[in-house]
Amino acid sequence: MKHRVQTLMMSLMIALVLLALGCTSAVQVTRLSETDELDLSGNWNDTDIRIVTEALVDSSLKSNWINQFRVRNGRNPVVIVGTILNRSSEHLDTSIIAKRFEMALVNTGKVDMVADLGMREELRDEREEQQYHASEETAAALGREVGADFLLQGAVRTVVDQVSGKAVRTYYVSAELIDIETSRKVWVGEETVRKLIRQPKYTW
Amino acid sequence: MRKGVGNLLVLCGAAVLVVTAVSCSSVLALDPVVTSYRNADFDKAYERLALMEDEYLAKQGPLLYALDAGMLSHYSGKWDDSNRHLDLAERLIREHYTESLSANVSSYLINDLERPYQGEDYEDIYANLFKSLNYVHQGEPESALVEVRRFAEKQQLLQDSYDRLFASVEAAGRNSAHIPLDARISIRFSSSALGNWLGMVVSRDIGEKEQARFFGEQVRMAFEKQRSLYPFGLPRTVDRDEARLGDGTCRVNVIAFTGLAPVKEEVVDRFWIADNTYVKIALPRMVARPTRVASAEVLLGNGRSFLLEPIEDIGAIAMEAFRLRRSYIESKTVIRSVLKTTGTMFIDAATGSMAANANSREEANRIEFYGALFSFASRIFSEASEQADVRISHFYPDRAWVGGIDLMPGVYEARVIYRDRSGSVIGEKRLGDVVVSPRRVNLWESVWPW
Repeated sequence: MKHRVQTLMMSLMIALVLLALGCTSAVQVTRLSETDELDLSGNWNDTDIRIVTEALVDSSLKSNWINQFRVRNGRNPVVIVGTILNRSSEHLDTSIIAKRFEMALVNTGKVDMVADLGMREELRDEREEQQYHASEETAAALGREVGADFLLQGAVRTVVDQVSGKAVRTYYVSAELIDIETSRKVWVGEETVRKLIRQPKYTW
Repeated sequence: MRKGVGNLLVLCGAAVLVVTAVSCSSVLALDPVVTSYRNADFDKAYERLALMEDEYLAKQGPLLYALDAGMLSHYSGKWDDSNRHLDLAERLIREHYTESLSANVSSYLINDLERPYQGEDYEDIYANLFKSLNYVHQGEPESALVEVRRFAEKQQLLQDSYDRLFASVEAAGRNSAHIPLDARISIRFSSSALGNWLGMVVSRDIGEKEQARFFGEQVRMAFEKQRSLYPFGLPRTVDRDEARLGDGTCRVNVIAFTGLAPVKEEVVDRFWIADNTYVKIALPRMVARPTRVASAEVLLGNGRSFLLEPIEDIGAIAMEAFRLRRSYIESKTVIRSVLKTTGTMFIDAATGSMAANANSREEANRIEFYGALFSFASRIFSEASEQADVRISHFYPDRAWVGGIDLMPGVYEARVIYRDRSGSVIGEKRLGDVVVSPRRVNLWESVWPW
């Protein structure tokens, strides 16, 4: 009888352990702060974006082009964001860099931004629509867009030096502000991110 | 007596379990999929493959499924699907670079199927090439170029690793007069003319002149440096494809894929080394599935036509990749088979020795009985477990063809005619009404399954 009770207890314990294991969720989520550096694959990630945009924005603001323009014209320069080309060997969303740049410039209060090419089409369509469908008092007027003084352009390029299991991946992120009227470059900046990526040949 | 029968049953059961565990075949019956592919019904082929996904994953793993599904979805024009599968394939190849030591040890004891399939170099490189084509068809030339650049990086890595291998073999040859320089390494595949040609065409059409010129040079170098893999002449279109035309016309290119790349099959040999003992050697062998197409021509609705010329013999490259690994596979197989047979012989010898030293006839009989059982189980294990690793992707094409023509912007009706060696038409593929525009990559694609 005692033996049967022990067997029963053992079976119950095993069942409970199995049940507990079976109920454990495989997904675990941990919130990270923006400054936590976490590299999983070695590919371009949020840390790289932060490093690059902070450095480029800093370089751009330290340059004298804003003050020179304000002294000469008595108003804030107007900038339009062009294309940040992806010339790398990774599928990167370069619009994040452009957007961060835009935010930083606008937040200085010394630079005005106008809608970029993609948004502008949408705005123009909306204004056209308003001419027919909105009341005369509330419809946005045509031909009152603010013309940009400068175009922001850039590119991301990569160079990879690798042997089996080890690679140094260098990202060159360049940006430049071009005077639309004169095609003169008023600021050029480049930030480099280098990463050593190692992958072991063997594991247990 | 009852205890003896019980032990016997346990041993037999264990033997059956071991045999079942190790002899699970990795061979997959892909015939219905291949039949649909050969009928140029690529949609059906992709559907049929998807239906057997579970069986496929269980037998050959996720990498090969991703490669096959990626290729079939590409042929059936499902660009997103193809990119998704080929992305996964690329990631798995990268992950599988790190090998499990335990799986490696198992592969020395059981067979090579114990290790996850790592993918051949050419499978890795061409995955990027087909992804690039997917992006071209989706109207995303920037992304297409990202794939071409990734492809170029992998080529560089291949080139470097072959250079080091070549240098070490050369050094070994210098140090020992008995070790001949392995000439086979000198015909390695390290640069794909096709991939570079694609990079040239896309770069040209998005206005990246320098890059187009660089890729153009790489095409020529691939032909010059790897003559055994490129036995045909440089396609005439290459010289015209590099730069954009300034006369209002657009350079339009066509890429065609024909046939199927080789697959592996198992070849088994048994060498008798004693009256009742043999060594089983099971090795993979490449079986070519060459294209029947000897020439291809593009006919336009306006009466103009142009020829396509071969630019890449993917089948030959697959053969070459296997040839470079063959000696390693052979050595490993022989070591493993001999080890297994030695194990069996050891059991036989130990049984004989123990039976001879037994205290009684009854004990000797018992030892001989169990020894025979162990020996039998060992033989079954050797026979069942010794399997060749015949894993390889099944739907890479055998040959790639390219051609080009200068056309004014507009819409053109086009079809590709495929002919065999005798000049008879063996296939025709309509490209439909295709748009030629200076604001897009003017690259058309055709696939013929034979």
